[in-house]
Amino acid sequence: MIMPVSNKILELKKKRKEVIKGGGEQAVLKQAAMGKLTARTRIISLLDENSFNEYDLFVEHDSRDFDMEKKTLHGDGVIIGTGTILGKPVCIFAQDFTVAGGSLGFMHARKITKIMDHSLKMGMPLIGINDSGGARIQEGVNSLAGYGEIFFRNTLASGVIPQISVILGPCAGGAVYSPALTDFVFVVDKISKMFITGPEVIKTVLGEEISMEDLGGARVHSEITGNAHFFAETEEECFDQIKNLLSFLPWNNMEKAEKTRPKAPKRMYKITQIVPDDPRYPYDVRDVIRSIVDDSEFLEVQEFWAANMVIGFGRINGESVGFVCNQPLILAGVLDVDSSDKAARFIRYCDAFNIPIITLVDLPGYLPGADQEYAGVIRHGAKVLYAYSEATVPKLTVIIRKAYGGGYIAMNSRHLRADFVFAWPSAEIAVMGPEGAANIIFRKEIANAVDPEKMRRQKVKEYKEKFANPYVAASRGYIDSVIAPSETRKLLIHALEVSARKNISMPRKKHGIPPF
Amino acid sequence: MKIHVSKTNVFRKMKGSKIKSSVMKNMVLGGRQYKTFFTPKFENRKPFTVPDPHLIYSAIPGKIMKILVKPGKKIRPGDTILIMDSMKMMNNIISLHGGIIKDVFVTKGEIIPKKHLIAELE
Repeated sequence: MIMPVSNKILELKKKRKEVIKGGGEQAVLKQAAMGKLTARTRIISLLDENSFNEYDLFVEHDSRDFDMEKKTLHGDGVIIGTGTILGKPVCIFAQDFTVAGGSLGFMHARKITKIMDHSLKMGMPLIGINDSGGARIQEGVNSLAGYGEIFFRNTLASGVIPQISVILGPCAGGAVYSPALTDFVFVVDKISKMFITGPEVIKTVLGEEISMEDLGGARVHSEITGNAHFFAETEEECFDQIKNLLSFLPWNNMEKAEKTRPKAPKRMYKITQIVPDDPRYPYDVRDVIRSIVDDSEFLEVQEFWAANMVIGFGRINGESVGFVCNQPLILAGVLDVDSSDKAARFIRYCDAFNIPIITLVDLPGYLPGADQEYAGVIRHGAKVLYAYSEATVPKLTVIIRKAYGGGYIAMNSRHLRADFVFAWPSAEIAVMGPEGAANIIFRKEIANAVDPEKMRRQKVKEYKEKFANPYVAASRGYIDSVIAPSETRKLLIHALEVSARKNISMPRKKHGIPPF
Repeated sequence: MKIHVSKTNVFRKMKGSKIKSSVMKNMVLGGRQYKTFFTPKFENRKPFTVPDPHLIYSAIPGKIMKILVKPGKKIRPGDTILIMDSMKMMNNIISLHGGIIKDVFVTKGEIIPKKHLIAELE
């Protein structure tokens, strides 16, 4: 008796319906009780409507130990597929916490590596939604093999396609290395949990009691560790952030980000009214950024960590650019261990994906202290110098106010091959601030004076007038021009236009050795 | 002096965010005093203190298995003073300095954390 094809089609639809149930109704309810969406719902929310195509729906695990052959794990706990975001194709995988806790087994990893290979071959972004209890212990070393294959591909694809990790559940132990290797990590308050060793192990080994949230919750990674790049309060907000980020990025490293229609900055940000006259008083550098970018739209990255450095994406005349700026509002805008790491990695990201870098400079130098030195501020500070020097994308610098000593060099000076360096009249480009310099250079005059305090004030004033300005650097051609603040956007637009076909080559080498 | 009020209004998302101190403080750099916010990490930093060579602290957490010294015992630099079960191994805990043990502050079977005071030399 031959079964008609129409029956076979019905059977297919029945099978699909069965597998799509995931871990079953109970597990789905538990997921909702934790305030989390299911894997499938997440994919549908993130991708454009009706654009998702799933693959490997019927993949099954093949482990036979520990009664595993009796267990049916639908899709082996992960959903992979392709779809579109903003009309352009992306690859996506989402771990399904309702199936065996989303634990990673060999076939589960195989599905993920399949979609990763796909995204690398076809040159499109990869989005990974992590929500997993970790390695499937019943599968033993095969789980580890699975993780290893994923990490290798993360590295292979690094700098070729944008890789985004969204942590929408636990991501612990070895599993957390995949997000660490990707470009951007998105976390959601009270839902994301990332740590290498969990609270139970810490309790056993150290006797310390700490909750999952305090150890590796979303806030911890956004404020303290710097492992997360974007923080959202709900999953929906997170998906909006992902779409926003993708609009600034090219789809792979052979392309440039899509240009949008140019828009003027919003009138409420008046560039001439932001920076105080007195260099001792701070301002929010993001107001300056918003006064020069299209529609005053600035997508800040790692907003809550190392806040003395501001990094993020904006558009100048429709072209996507990356910003690296000192933030005088926090710790006077100094460079330290964390802010150096933050800046250096972002510079390399922009360089890898053909995004021009605009640097706004206003820093008094590096943060002093034994704790900084012991933490290796030398090594970390060197990362910024390395990143800027090696970057071949158009590099534009605007020196707003202070640029003293090593900080002047590190923040994309002409010497690190910035393409255009502009300075505002308020710029102070000097080896150190007038107060410090006068104390050293005129020490004898001050000590021998009738009124040392008056002599000190006079010498500080002399030094300030002679050196705390942009004209000494301008006289040497170290900066290209001194500009009025109101001319900034116009000049940046022109500089980007003339740098559009920049083409330079570095000495032949496999790769340098950055101070990791 | 009017302090600029940011229009960006961004520390908005993390209610109760600890990214900056609640008031602006003074920070002296290069002889100049800057008005700025501090970060919690900066405010909570441990000031540097010169380490006391007479005090022996633990470098790793663990469970004390065997104590090899007691008050009055003379030790040389590099001598093992106790054995600790830590990170799935038996570790010899050594003293970097020599001298005469004045006091031992741990007991057999005790679980101690990192930077815990173990012993004192005279």
